[in-house]
Amino acid sequence: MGVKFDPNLMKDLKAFGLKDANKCMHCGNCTAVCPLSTPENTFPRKLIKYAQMGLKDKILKSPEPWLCYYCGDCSDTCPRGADPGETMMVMRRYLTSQYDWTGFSRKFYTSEKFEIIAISIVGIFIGLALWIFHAGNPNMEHAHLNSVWPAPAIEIADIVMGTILAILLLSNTWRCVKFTMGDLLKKIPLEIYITQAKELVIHFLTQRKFGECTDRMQWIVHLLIMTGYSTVFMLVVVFLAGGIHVIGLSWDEIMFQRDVIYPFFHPVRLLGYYATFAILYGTTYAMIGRLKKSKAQYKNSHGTDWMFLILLQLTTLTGIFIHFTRLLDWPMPTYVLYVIHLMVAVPMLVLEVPFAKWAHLAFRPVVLYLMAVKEKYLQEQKGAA
Amino acid sequence: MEKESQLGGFQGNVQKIATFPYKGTEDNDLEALIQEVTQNEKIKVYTGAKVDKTIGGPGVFEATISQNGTTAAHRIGAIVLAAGWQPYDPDKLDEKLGFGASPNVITNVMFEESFNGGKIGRPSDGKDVTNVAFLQCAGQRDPDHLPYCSSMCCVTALKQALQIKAQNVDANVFVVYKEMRTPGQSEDLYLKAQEEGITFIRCQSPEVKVSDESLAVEAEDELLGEAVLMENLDMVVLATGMVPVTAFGMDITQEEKKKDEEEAKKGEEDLDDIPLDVIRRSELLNLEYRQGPELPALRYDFPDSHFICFPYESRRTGIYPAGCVRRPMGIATAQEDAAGAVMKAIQCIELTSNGAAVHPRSGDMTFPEFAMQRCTQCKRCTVECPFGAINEDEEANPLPQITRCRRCGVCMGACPERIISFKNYSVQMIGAMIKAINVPEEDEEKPRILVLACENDAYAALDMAGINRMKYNAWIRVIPLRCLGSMNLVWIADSLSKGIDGIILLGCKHGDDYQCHFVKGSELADIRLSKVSETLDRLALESERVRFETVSIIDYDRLPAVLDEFAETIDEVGPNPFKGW
Ligand code: SF4
Ligand code: SF4
Ligand code: SF4
Ligand code: SF4
Repeated sequence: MGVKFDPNLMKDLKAFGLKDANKCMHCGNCTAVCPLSTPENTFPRKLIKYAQMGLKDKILKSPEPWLCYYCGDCSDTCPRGADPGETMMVMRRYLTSQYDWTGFSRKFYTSEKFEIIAISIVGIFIGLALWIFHAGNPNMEHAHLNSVWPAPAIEIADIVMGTILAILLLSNTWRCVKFTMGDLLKKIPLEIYITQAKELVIHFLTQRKFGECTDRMQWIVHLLIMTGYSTVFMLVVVFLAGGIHVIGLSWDEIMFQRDVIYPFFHPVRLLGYYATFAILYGTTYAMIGRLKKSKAQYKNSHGTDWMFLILLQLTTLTGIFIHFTRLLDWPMPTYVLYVIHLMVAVPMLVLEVPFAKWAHLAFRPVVLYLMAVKEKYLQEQKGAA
Repeated sequence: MEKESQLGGFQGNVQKIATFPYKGTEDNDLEALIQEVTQNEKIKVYTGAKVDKTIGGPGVFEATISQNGTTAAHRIGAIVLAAGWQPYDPDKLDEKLGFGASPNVITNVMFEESFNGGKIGRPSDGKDVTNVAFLQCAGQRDPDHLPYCSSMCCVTALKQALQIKAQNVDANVFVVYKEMRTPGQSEDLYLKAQEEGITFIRCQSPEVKVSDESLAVEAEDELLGEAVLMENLDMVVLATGMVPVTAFGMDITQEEKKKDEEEAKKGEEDLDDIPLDVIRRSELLNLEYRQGPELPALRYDFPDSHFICFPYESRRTGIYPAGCVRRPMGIATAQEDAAGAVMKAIQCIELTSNGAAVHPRSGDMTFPEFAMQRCTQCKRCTVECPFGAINEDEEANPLPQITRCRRCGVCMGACPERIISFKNYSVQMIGAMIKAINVPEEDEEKPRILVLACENDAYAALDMAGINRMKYNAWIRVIPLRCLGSMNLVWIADSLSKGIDGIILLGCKHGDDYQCHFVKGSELADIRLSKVSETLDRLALESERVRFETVSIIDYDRLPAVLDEFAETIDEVGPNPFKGW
């Protein structure tokens, strides 16, 4: 009994941005040139074959899309213009939507309209909430955010948001783990999972694999955006709530977004500066690239790619403005900008982290980690045999 | 001259064609072409006709054509043989391919014939087709069936698949191939088919599974590493290959063998050493040549000389094969081929009317002259002439047909009585050149080596070695020959008895991939040389003294080493004892 062809998958993938994969004639140049493809996990040609044949199950089990960092070498090499790198990108979008049990991600990716409406609704909702629930007597002489929106309230909102995000992201990640590992998941002893855990951390922090690509610039840009974003994420989700007064946990020195202005060399301030610089540089580079279609990976821009960059840059820019208005002690502009800042940042967090591009922040290192686990396991099996 | 009742051949069955620029399928505009031909007053068309016999040679051919019981004779300058092909018999195919097991398993040829002019439907009931599999190489590139690639069936499958897609965009069309072979620009048609969503599966040996009411194909997909099952197929189309019409009919050499077995030989001189051409009675030209009625065949029964080096040439002067009879091809190549062969035919008529030779000694005004008084009717010349240029009269005297002759001199080399010569090339002339070679005395301890080199490739290769400033042994003296086939054994005997220490013959590669400009010249020289051992024995000489080597022009870089090594051997063998006689 052989595998069966399914004509529908290709159509489905088109909605995720697939364009040229059917032109592939399987010469294998892309796999040969890909700096990250290994004999155990060859790609991208194999995935293109899966797509052409409509082998959804095989794609679901494939770790390869997460091993690709989209350096674009393959697309530059392809003699057929089949754009294999973009196919890998599409696979990541597709997998993200498959991992997501809510079905929200799928909608988000396949309908630009839905994407815009969803982001607008969350944004407006946040705006309205901030508008309605503010303290009665804001400080109009000094820029004191907490006088408008008291810290505990923000903290609670943050905890709620953080929890929802965590639940969604973790449950999706769990599905990612289940799909990718299949039966092996339970066969591999826990011990290996534990000993390999450092891989997870290393991959997350260094994106080491990407460094193996020929175009180092892409790695740097990616690393900047990734670390910048993670820093902010930590500041917002952890440090902001790090002073969870409400439940008695607090460490005042590192609280984020408090009315105290920290001295220049305060770690929180430095982290903030780093994140701002990194994200701004990275996103600007990527946006210019996408506008000019300067590299293979920038040639095809899906709606979500733009949305991601725009939201990120807007968040950063409004963040910078707030920083200045606070330093200048202008109350009204600070408050207004803060509302805008949150209207952009919150939708980005709530929608992109579990359902769209930001989710790969979790999926990629997890899959790399799983591959390390699997390799170790297979090695041991071989040793035993 | 068309055998069928109308012009157009197989193309008449075809609805869509795949041709330049191969961006998609195009309408077959055959009708317009037929009109153009029939309305051209310089073209006389016979349909439903047959060539009863062809006599003469270029410029003086006379063809007797019969049509509806009447016959007409025409004087003809040159002939283009575009007799076409037949599909490989699908009944002979491997059972795995399911031909005959279901009416819905058809061939590419049946596809054209049955859907010409309209809807593509399921053969069994005419219903719309939604799932179709094309299986490529049905018999081709398989030593048990057709060992060669038919070069057009991949493109045909792409075209037919696109036709199905054009009829129903949602149809699932599979092409199961060994290797997709889309020569030249037809690669674009492959791309087009992919863009249209046709699915390609690479598999060396697919299997058609027929059970009542259901048709499926199982194929081990090499790119997936797994078997793929295509179910609920409405139709399976097998890509059968092309067989040239010259492949049909009994081979006359086999006939002769039979005859020989019946009546044991009647004291004729043994000519068995000469390899005979395969000539089949395929009833196309019906040549009245001593050597047989049709064109001699090359590999796989295609009637051709070496088609990379000498396209459109056959081994019968003035007859130029074109189209699928020459090699399998698609419509675009066939059109190009027709033009090429016609150009050749025009050249031939021009040159012949001036009394000059055609390719490869184009323009040569000399011709072989036979001093008939001394002819012993040994038949060597008539049998060895690679171009069948020598007929025979009732007394077995050779009757050279000068316009068929290519001036290779093979007959001159073959003739044991040495009665054949050209005005500017004869046994005596080369003999005199040999005589003029200075042979050092034995005490000079310098051997002398003679190289007889084919002037087409070997001599040019020696030149190339010179241009590249390569060095070879100084004992060597070179005499170029028109063709190594014109080498007469008397030159070997003369050289040896004159004291020349070693002789090396440089000729072209022979066999199926021959490069000899005169097809069999170097092969014949090689055969002749094998008989020289007798002479050597008689003279009590070592067999190492004479050697045959094949070279092509690109071998120039290894040529000095070959010659040096030969010189060394000769040095070891020692001086020729006939020196100084
Ligand atoms: S290089 Fe292009 S055509 Fe070749 S296998 Fe890769 S995607 Fe396919
Ligand atoms: S984009 Fe780069 S990493 Fe991804 S498959 Fe292509 S070559 Fe490999
Ligand atoms: S053209 Fe294609 S199907 Fe035909 S013999 Fe060649 S490889 Fe096989
Ligand atoms: S010269 Fe060649 S072609 Fe002419 S008759 Fe002699 S062998 Fe035949």
